[in-house]
Amino acid sequence: MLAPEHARLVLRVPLTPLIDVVFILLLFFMLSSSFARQQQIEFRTASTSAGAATDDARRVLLLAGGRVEVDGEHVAVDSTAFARQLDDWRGKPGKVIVAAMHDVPVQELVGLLDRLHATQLDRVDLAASVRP
Amino acid sequence: MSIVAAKKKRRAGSGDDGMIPMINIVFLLLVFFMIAGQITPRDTGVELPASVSEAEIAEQQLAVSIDTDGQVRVDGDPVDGDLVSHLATLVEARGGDPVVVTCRVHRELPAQVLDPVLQAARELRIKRLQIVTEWQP
Repeated sequence: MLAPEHARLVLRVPLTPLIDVVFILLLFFMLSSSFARQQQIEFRTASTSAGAATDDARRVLLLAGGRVEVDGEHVAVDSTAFARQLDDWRGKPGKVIVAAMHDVPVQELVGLLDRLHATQLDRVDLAASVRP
Repeated sequence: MSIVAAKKKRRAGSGDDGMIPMINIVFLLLVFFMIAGQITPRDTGVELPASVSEAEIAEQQLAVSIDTDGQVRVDGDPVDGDLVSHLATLVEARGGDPVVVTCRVHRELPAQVLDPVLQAARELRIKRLQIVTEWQP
């Protein structure tokens, strides 16, 4: 039987190689992991261009500077007039076709799609961008 | 034996004692980063648009990314020619399963960069398209 002191010597784990490996793993996970949550916003492709929409489709054209054109009128995306318009569309049949002017940033388009999804519209289609 | 001599002896006998609290903390950090972080391939230079949408990204998907130079990549491979024919071969390889196309687009790019993707989806009759966003409440 081993003396207690001798047994302790045998069981000692070499800590320096262990911490070397743990540090390497730690560095790997610190550098490669990201904490940003990636989500998505879904839409369908409009079968026709925004200019030739069918009768029951509503057309929204996104202009620069956070404004939209609905039925020939220009309103701001965050205005109450646009909110009232969306409330009016909700629950009624027919889809909404969204098109953006060709130079509007993708961020603004996503903002508008967010707004439409928040209103719980049944179907949102995205048409090709529009050139003036 | 004096107290000083006893302390000296203890230090000399166990040089690794100070390591154990450090390893505890390092392990804790390691477990935190392993569990809380997500390992994702780096999109060089693609800043995703911010959104409040909480919908999860589809699992079976064709990933189209467009970086600031306008370079289109499908599942990581750069596409220089026709996007429609490139996507068509990938859709065919999936044997008729419904396809979801996810677009990773830099937030400041103009909306017209999405046009080739929309056109390809229309021609290939892909119904579902997703724009990948970064969740911001």
